[in-house]
Amino acid sequence: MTAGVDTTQTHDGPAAPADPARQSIVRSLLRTPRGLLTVGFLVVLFVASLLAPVVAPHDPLHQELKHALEGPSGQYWLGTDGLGRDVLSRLLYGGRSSLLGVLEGVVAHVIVAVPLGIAAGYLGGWTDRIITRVVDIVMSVPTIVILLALLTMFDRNISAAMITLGALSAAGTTRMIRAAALSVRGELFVSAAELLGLSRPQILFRHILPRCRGVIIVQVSLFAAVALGIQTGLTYLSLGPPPPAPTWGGMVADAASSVSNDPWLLVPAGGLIGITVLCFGILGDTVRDITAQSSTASAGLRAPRRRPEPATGAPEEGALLSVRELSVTFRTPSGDRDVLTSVSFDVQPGETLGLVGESGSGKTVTARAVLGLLENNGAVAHGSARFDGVDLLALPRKRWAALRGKRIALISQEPMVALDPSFTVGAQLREVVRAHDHSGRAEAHERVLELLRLVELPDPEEIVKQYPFQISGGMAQRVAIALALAGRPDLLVADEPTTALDVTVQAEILDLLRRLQQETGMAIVLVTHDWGVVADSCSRVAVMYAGQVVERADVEDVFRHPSHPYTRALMATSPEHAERGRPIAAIAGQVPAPGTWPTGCRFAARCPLMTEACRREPVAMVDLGEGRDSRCLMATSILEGTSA
Amino acid sequence: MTAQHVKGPGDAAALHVQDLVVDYPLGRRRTRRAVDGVSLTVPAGSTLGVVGESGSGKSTIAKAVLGMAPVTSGSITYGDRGLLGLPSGRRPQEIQVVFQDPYSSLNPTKTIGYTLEEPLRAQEHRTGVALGRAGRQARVHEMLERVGLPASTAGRYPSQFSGGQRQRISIARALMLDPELVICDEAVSALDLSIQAQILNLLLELQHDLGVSLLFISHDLGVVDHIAQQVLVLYRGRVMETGDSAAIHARPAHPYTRALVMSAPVQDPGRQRERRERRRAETPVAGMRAPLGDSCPFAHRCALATELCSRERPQLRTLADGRAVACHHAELEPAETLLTKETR
Repeated sequence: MTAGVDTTQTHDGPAAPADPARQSIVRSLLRTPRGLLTVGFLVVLFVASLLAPVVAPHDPLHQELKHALEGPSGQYWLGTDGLGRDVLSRLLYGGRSSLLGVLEGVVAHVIVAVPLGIAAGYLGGWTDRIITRVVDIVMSVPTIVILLALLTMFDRNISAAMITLGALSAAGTTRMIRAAALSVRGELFVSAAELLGLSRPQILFRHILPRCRGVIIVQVSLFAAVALGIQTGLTYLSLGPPPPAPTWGGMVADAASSVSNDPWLLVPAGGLIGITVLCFGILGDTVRDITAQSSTASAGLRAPRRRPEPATGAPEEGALLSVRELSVTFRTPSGDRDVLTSVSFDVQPGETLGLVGESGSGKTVTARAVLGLLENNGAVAHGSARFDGVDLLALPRKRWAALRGKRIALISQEPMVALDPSFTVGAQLREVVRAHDHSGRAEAHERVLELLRLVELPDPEEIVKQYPFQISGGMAQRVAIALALAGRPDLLVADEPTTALDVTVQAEILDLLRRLQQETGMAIVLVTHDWGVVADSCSRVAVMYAGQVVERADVEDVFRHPSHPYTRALMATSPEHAERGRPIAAIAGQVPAPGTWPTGCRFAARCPLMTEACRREPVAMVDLGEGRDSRCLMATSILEGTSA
Repeated sequence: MTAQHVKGPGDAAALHVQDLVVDYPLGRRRTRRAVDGVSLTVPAGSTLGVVGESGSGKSTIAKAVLGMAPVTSGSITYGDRGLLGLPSGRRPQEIQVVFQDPYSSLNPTKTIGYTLEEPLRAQEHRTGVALGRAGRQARVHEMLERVGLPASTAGRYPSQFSGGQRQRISIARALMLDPELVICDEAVSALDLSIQAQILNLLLELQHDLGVSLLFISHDLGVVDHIAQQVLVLYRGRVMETGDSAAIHARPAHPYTRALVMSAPVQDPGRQRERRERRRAETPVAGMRAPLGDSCPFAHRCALATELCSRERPQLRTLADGRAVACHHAELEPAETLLTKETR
């Protein structure tokens, strides 16, 4: 389970109030300063060019030779050219043909690329194969040569050239749209719609096309930038409308011929072309950012890292790891959120502590905080984590890094993620072994084989030559365990190590961890949501709910007499305890999201034993003796009730 | 949903899958056999559980029934209609599905109301019978309340809901057209334990009230045992054991089913210790996967395997209590302590 980091919308994590994916792209675009600026500029440019006959201060063709090559003035805002024509007016009129050309190109581009791309991506099969082949061929055609030929044939008809350009360069965009449509087609909601009897056009227009919108806008605006560049290039070469008709390219050409007498003349035309191209480009980038952002809402946010206030509680006698009053805060777009409050537990050498809870309980965040591996937007606000007498949370990064991997190791839910697919298993293990042991090649190789034998992989000599994708998930987890063991750790943090594995493989991995623990005497913190795994592997348990530890106990006690109503309810939700085909004792409602925690007991809303007192103020841990604590006002009576 | 929508077992049909073989293409001219001669029946109004580990082909069976897998041979019939080779527009709307991933299952840019209304609109389009806007919305609200969500849910977007709530919405969508059979493809696997219990309860309740049959696919034998009357255990695309769910869970006859039952840890440290010892005594082999030829697919991991197992593929044979087992050596042992559920 991807418990914990609720700021990034994990599985079953509480939902964020607003979702950027569903907001219209235009609205999100206008909300960013970049977007507002570029869209604003382009709109003004388009409108001004369109209204050139109205807004232009002069006739673009009117020559006033006595004012030739003048700089900006009250009468000629941007100066005049070599024939004394008003530069501003010529730019505005020239904009009409330039932007019209771009528009024609874009329309042709869209008409060709969108249907082809969507058809190839959504329909697949032969349609896809034919379209992809044609696209490949078209991409190899030298577009500019064709344009030049076309302009000679059609007597400087720039519209024909731009439409051709739009159609020919649609090949690349077709590919992008095809890829987008292909990935949407793989989404389950499309399968569901098909099964519900929606016709293909209905699915196309309601589900596929809207999800490809982002890609289309990005590609089209980037094409617009290119089209404008080519269009001005063609008119610069006087392949467009013949003089004296104003064109942006033609104006650059005029300016270039008199650049020695009047360098200024280059500025208005060149600048405007540059800015417009830039605007199209930025527009594309911004839309891409907006569409990509929807999946990573808190990307780029950083929580301030400062030394946390140390905790006051004393560590347990002889504990290897002693976490006290650990609080963690995440920075989210809607403000700072506490995700852990005052988490305390101890791990004795050689024992296995189970950190149990549902998603959103904070169990993974706890493990990551202890390892110093919180994401960038998270930080420890308070508390201490004493490992062998040293407070990890107060350590400088470098010393922490030295401990991590050596004395404290981690294995995670996805073993494949821990392994780099581009190196063999042997190479990765060797690298880690050499970093820890500072040993030579041959020695390191021996140690690698020893580690692989330790994790009971058959035929280690063969395994070292394999790449991670060539081995099964269970074997990959064994390799990940071997990696973790390379530094001979005293503490292994195992974050849902068997959740992604098949149940028979899970049993083998748990057996392996138990055997390794007996042989090496290392302590294990086992993060899990599965009570069966707890019963199988743990000696002590800390149950977590909504960012707090609600119960700590020995494993036998917690199963025999759970002292917190949540522990009891969570155990009962297993179908194991229900009669076949009858309702399971489910807990109504769901884990409250960080930021919506009540003042009093956080489980109160779902608790059958809730009283007024539970809601009044935060509930403290109650010491029940014999190493048990419970965060419940009724804990003592619950225990008496069950033991009676 | 009102009384006239309730179906009795009489007017619903059964799903029959016969000798299904599915091969997935693997590059040029090579294929991987995902399902290898599987037959199963989902009787009307009842639940068949399909259990297996990753790669066992259990989801491929669901895909084949839904017309989403390349079926090589075999037949799939629903009532008297053959389902193979139907164009997507002609598939029976009586069969619907709930997928595992509650996130990818709902279009994030559409409101819940839109998503639920869409099948009704498509149906109106097909049949020409118009419910009208008000009629459709009434159905949507009714269905939301059926699955335990307030009617106001309709105006909101998928991102505003947790995984469990989204799974309720997916179930509501599957029920919009009054299906007779709902395929649950790992429908509770991505959910937390407490949410999983809620959804299992919902499915049982819906089955009771509406009489739908379920093809319930899961990797979790405990969950399947709870919800299904009949169970089918798959391994590497082949049926290992099938029959009455309670009997199989209590006394698994096939060594693979035994391994599955014994590997699932129970919530009792003492009992779990005993089970672990027994499991280790029984399955000492953790061999590498051998290529499938004429051998039993489980032979490389099986404690009972003999030379016969690698030479001859065991056929399904029926044991005394009516279950079928594909094993040369399987015999029904006397009832004993394998029971994982507390005494009933």
